[in-house]
Amino acid sequence: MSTRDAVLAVWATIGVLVATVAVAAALSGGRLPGYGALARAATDGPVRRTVVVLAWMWLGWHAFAR
Amino acid sequence: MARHLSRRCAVIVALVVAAGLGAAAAVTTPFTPGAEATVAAGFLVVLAALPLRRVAGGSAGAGPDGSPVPGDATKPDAPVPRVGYRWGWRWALVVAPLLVTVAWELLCFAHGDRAAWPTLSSLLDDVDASPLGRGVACAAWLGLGWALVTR
Repeated sequence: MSTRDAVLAVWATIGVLVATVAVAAALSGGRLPGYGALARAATDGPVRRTVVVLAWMWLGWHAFAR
Repeated sequence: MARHLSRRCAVIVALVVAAGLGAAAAVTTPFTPGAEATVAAGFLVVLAALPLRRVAGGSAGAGPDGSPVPGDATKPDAPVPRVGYRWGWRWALVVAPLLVTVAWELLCFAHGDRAAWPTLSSLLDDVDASPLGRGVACAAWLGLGWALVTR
């Protein structure tokens, strides 16, 4: 197994972890916070929302324009 | 009712626009004016959706601990109260995977060798290599922005 394969395996594991948390939160009936709740907390207030939107804009620029 | 309908229309229009911009992104190349214009159009669409932000509690019903969430969706003009987040240690469950992601991203970035240590950006480059992947990724990015500004 090459280094790249090992790194990709870790990325895949992290992806599964992230998805598992999302599913667990969805199935918990509100007892566990999900990414939506985290996003709401992160955008609660004009300053936070501005920071998050700027981060989102940077992401799009970085991924698709530059 | 009218507000509900206008919101639904806005969502439909946004989906059509997202599909259109996704298709436009699929045929553009980074570092070109076309790609920059497509991303800039995405900015405008999502920023235009800012007035559609939900009244807090409008769709949540009850808080995470069963307590009523402040805010009344039937009174859209009422001031938006700040929502209390009372999950306590449970926040760790949703924050921890993101911290692991950031830590691993930084580790891969620090190694410098993108071929052996691909970062999220280089993985996304692989997705963006095909027009279909690029279009879908752009539409997903627009959807994320829409969700962030309207929820």
